[in-house]
Amino acid sequence: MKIESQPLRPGVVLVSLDGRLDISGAAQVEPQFKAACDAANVVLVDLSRTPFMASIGIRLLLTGAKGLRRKGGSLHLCACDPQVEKVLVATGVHQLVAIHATRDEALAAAGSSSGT
Amino acid sequence: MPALLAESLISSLDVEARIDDITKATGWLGALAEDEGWSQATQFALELSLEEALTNVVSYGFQDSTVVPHIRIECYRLPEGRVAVRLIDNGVAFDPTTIAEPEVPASIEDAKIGGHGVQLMRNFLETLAYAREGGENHLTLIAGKPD
Repeated sequence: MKIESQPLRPGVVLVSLDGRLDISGAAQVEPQFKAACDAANVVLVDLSRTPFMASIGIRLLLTGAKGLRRKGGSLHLCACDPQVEKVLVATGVHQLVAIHATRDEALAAAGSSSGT
Repeated sequence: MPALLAESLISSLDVEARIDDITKATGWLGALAEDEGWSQATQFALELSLEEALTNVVSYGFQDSTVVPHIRIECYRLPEGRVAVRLIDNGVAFDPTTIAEPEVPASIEDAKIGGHGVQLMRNFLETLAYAREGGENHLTLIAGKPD
């Protein structure tokens, strides 16, 4: 699994996850995902290239979201595969973290919640 | 739960009690899905549930146990396009069907980080059934209910 972090503006970063967010995928991306959440205030996660997510992925996202919330920031998810979205809904993540249909919608929402 | 007949066995796989073998097992199931032409929803449900169930077995099944781990996965073709995956292990008795649903947290601050595996299996599967037989856990996962 691959991860790419792209700073959009100060405090806001776009993280693209590419591959299966299963137990081995999560281990591969965890250090960089955690670093992105530590460094930024608002993190947008593009899931358009993530066809699979298990509970280990939920763990990764919720850990990031909690850390961001503690410092007044937020995590946004976008462009989910329908089955992955079902995972997010089944675990209640959709009630805790904003899920946007497209990257543009996430960018617009992040713009209004960047806290500046 | 429908009976799993020997003649409907598609394939089986023995794995070791280590994290790397979880990905090996889901990869094996993914290849079967392609060969058998399962729907995307059936493939996703079974790969997800096998990953969650096997993670539990590998992480906790042999923690305080002195037995040599034996973990076997069997895949069966059922009528009407359904598919059954049976996970058999000789680890400590653990019945995931008795695990309570986690409460829905009011806020991200209250949210529990873990404990979502069984919740996902229940949501994605048509049947999740457990039996303890001859010192082994038998967990059966069934998906592929016709629309």
